[in-house]
Amino acid sequence: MSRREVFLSVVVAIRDAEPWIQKRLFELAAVLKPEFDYYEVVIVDNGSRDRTVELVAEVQKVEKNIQLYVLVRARTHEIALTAGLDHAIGDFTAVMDLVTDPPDRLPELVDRARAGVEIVYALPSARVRRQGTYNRLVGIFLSLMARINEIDVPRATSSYRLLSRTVVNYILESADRHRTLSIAPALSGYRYDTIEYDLRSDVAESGTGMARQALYAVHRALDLIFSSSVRPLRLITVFSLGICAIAVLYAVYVVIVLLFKENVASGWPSLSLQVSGLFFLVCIVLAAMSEYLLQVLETTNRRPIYHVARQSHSSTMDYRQDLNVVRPQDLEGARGGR
Amino acid sequence: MRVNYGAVVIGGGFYGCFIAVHLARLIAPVLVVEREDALLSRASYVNQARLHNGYHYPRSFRTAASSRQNLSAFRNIFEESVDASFEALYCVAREGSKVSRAHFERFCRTLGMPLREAPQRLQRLFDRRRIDAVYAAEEFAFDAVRLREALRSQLAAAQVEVRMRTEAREVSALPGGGIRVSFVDEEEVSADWVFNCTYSALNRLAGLCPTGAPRMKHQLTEVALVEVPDELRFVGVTIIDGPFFSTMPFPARKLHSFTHVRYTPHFTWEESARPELDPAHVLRIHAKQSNFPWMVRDARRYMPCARDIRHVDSLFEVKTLLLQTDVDDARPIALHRDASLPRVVSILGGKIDNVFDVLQFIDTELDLV
Repeated sequence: MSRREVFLSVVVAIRDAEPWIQKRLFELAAVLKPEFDYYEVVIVDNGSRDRTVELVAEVQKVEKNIQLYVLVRARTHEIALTAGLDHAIGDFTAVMDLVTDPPDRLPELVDRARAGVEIVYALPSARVRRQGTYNRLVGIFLSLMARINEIDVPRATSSYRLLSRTVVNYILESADRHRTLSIAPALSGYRYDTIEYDLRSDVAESGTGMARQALYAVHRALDLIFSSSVRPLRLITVFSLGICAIAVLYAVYVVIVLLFKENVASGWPSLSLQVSGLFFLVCIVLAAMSEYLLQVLETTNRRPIYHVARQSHSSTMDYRQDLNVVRPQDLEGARGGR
Repeated sequence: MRVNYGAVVIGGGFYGCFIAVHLARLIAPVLVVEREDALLSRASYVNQARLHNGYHYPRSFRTAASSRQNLSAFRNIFEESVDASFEALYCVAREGSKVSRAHFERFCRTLGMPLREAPQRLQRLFDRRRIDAVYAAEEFAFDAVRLREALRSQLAAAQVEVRMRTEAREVSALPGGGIRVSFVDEEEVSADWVFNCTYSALNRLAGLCPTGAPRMKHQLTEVALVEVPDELRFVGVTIIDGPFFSTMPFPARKLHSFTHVRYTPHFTWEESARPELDPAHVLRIHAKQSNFPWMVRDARRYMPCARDIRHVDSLFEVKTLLLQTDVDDARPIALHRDASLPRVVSILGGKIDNVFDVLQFIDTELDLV
């Protein structure tokens, strides 16, 4: 099967993209059209409050194979991407960020995948070399994730990647797929390859401040740890049991002091025994509960994490190439007269 | 001006032919004119060949109920053209569906439509993570070629004159109450009544008054014709009700039709918004690149064996809908008497088996004789 016959889905999630969306969509289509016979662009509008949806609808009138899903209200970027993955039908599905990722690398991603891997990550060179504090921290975090989940992750992560249908199906099977999305391909265990790319230079610095971005990064890191692994919960169990043991030891110590020491201040032994007894009880309860919670998590209830408000598809007037030559009968028909 | 006809029927599709046979009993002589080389060669041929039995309209009880009444009448008359040799499956999708399992079951129960759980071997065809329920329904397909033969002999028996490759251009009033019909080849006939059954070209006949004319939306559609793997050979599959696919036997070609709510329409336009677009012209110039690769990739997410479906051919046609029916999916037939020429009746056919409603309209509403 040649690359032209591969069906490629491109999934993007956007919000309030009015200033750039049309330009970027035309650019994307211009890359896809000559390289692929069969493709689709799946756009998930993540609760835009500007004219993004109307602008996409305008593009749908002239560009083929553009599909738009409008979420009822804004959810996280990962949930929006998950909605896109749910609806992508391609043999391969590329996920990308229209602002930072250059579409002209898509054919290369597909070529790499066709060489025999299921996942291709496109990684920004700066992150691969771990330049800057943020990229270094991300690197450390990734190795930590790899350790606790016992998986093989690339040296960096980015929004730009290509997944085969098998991997997409794997990801879509888990109910909390939106949480683990960024490392989900790695969790699947399929073979991967990487390419490097430079983030687009014409990217305007986003308006959000450093502090907010850092907070968001921490939030996502915690989300990732707690959703990809139940080990933190196991840690709580162990910790609670440790406290229980200490409480028992302390109680024994109090009794020994009471028995063998004179001039013990009245009230101290009873108060201390109360405290250690209570600690013991609380921690035993905690330990038992976290073990049960662990089991509950493994059989989590599946509930929908997003809801598509409406969807639309390209409606293009597709003229034959030879129509540039105007024939008299064509003119007649177009005028609608007889 | 040569012959004076009781009625001229413009358009030799299923509706035009069937109405002509009926009219011949009341106001003979009757003339049918058809632009193409054969009767029933356009929209009557290029469609799913589905004989609706109501299941398709869970959001329009009225259309469903009348579908059921009409189907038995249709089967009585065109028994030879009906294909009942396959199992019609109706599936309800878990996500993105406008009806739920409970809604569909209640709908069928209310209208007395037979519905049972599909047998296990057919249930297994589907990915149950995406498909909530699979039902076996009672539904049939028609063979458009046999239907054409049946109508041709009925027309002959009723002594209806048929002119092929003849396109009507204009209607105009004659002194004394008759109507003149002018053809593109400059010939003219006169008639007491004119029935305009040209479907997508309904409003393009010159001389009609635009006041009150049906407002229509056109869709350039593709019906893919496919060879299905053995497990689907005697099976029709329809996933309701949303952006899903459907495949069922297409008896006229001994293949299956394959359609998809999202990919079958290539291009949609409202007639009032783009009056310069003549449906026939759009059909001629549209680059007919098949959407089958899209259809089948979506389908195999629901039905894995779809990966073995082989594309053979695609039929393109302009499908015309009344604007009001966008909301509830109903397919009423539009009947319209021209405001200035009340003896010119425009009829926009809906589903093929709903033709009987038109006959009733002709008998009761028009003072033909």
